[in-house]
Amino acid sequence: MKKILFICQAGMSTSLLVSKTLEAAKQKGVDIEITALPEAQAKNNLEGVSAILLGPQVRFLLGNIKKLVEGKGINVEVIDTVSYGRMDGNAVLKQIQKLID
Amino acid sequence: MASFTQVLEEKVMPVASKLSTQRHMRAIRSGIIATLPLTIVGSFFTILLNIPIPAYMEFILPYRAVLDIPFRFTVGILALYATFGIASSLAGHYKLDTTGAGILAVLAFLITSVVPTQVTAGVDGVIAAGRWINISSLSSSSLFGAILTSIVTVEIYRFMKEKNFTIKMPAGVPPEVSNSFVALLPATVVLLLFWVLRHIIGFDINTFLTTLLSPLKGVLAGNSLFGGMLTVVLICLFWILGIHGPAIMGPVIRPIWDMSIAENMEAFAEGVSAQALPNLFTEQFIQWFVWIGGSGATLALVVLFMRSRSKYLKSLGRLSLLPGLFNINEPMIFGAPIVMNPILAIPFVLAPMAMTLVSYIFTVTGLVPMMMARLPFSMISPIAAYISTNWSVMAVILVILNFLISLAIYYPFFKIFEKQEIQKELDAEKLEAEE
Repeated sequence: MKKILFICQAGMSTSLLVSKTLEAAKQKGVDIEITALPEAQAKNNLEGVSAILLGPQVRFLLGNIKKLVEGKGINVEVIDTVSYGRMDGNAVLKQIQKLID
Repeated sequence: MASFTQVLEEKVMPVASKLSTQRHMRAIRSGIIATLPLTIVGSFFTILLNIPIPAYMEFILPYRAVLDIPFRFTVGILALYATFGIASSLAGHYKLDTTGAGILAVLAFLITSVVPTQVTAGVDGVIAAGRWINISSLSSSSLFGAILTSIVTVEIYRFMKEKNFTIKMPAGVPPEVSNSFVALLPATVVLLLFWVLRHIIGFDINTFLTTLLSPLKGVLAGNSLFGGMLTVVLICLFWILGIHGPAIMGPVIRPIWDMSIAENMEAFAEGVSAQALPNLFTEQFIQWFVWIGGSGATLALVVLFMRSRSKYLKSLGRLSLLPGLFNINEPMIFGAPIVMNPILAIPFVLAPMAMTLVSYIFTVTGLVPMMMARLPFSMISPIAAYISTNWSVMAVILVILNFLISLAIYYPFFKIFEKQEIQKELDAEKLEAEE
C-alpha cells in the first residue's frame, strides 16, 4: 500500500478528487491510500508517504514542499490543471503511478 | 497567450511563493487561523443571545450575563490566543521550544497591553480589593500589538540561543534541569524590554501600531467602497491566474479581516444595533453577499453550464453543483477553465464587482444590517447571510438578487464560450467519423 498526499489550501477541494481517484484505483486494482490535507498540516504527516501532489491553485508552494521533503525520497508534483478541473480520477491516477514507480 | 503564461510562471509565481512562505508572514497567518475555532464557537453564543423570537428572548433575559461569558473568553480576548499561536508557530519554524516561546510571548503581550487597575479598598458587593485586568485590552483591537510582541519575543529567544547567551550548567547536571535554565536569560530580556517600554517609558506599542495601521485597515476592511472593491478584484485576478487569492493575500489581509469581524461582534455584544456596526467590508460581507458559489460568484455559471447544450459543460456543471452550493469552486475554475480564459475571466471579475456595489448600497441605506457573526465558509450563502446579519430577511433577498445579477452578467459570456465549446465538440466528432 503506497501512501499519497494531496495538498491544497483547506484540504477541501482536493478531497473531492480523492474519492474520484480512489474509485479509479479500485477499478484498476491499484493499491493506494490518499489523504487530502491543508498545506499547514503537510509537515506533520509525512510519515510513510510515497508521493505528494499539489492542487494547481497552490502550485506556488511547490518549492517549499520540495525543500520540506528533501532527502526523504518523496516525489512532489502539481496535479495537471485539466485533470484537476475535470476531477478526472483516471488521469490523476496515471500521474500518481508515474510518480511512485 | 503561451508567452503570457510563461511570464506569469516565471515572474509572478516566485513573488507569490515568497510572500506566502516568508516565515513571519506565515507564522502570523497560521497563528491567527489557529484561533478560528474559538471565534466560530464564540459566534454561536452571540447568535444564541439574539434569536428573534420574543418568548425566547424573554426566557433567556435573566441568564444573559452567563450566556455572554463564552463570547467574552473567545472573541473577547482574541489577541491573547493569537499571540500564543503566532509565537509557537514561528518557534516551530526555527525548531525552538514552541511551548516555551508561546508562554514567553504571552508574557510580552500581557505586559505590553495591560496596566492593571489596583483597587486598594474594596466596595462591598461591587468590587473587591486587588488588581483587575480589563479584558477588553486583550481583544481584537490589540491584534497588531499581539503580532509584533510575539515576533519580537521569538526573535530575541532565537538570537540568544544561537549566540549562546544562556546560563550553562556544569556537566553532570541532568538535561531537564539545564534545559529549564536555557530560557532564563531570554525571559529576563523579554520581560525587561517590554516592561521598561510600556511601564517606565510609557510607550504603548499597541496604540502606536493601531494608529499607524488603521488607515490601511479602514481602506481594506472598513467602510471604503474602493477598498472593498480592491479586495474583491484582487482575489478574482489571482484566481484568473490560477492562484488561490485569499492564500496569497492572507498575510496582509487576514489580521485585518479577523479584527474587523471581531470588532463588529464585540460592538454587537455591547448592544450596538447591527445596522450601526463599525465595519462594513468584513470578510463575511464578501463571503455571503459576493462569493455565492465560491470566489467569482460561480454558482450562476454552474447553473448555466447545467443547462448547456455542450456535453462537456453540462457534465462539468453537474459535477460542480454540490461543491458550489458549499462555496467550493475549484472544479469550475480549473475545469471550465476560468483560469487564463479570456472570455469567462471578464464576468468572473465584473459580476463580483457589481454584486459588491449592490450589497454596499443595500448596507449603507440601512436595508441590510452589517455582519455580526462569523460562520464557517462552507455554509450555503442565503442561510449564512440570514444568520450573520442578525436574522435579516432583506439579507436573504439581497443574496437572491445578487445571484440573479451574476446570472445576467455571466450569461452573454457563457453564450460565446458555449458556442466555441460546441464547435469544438462537433469538430472532434467529425474527426472521429472521418477516421
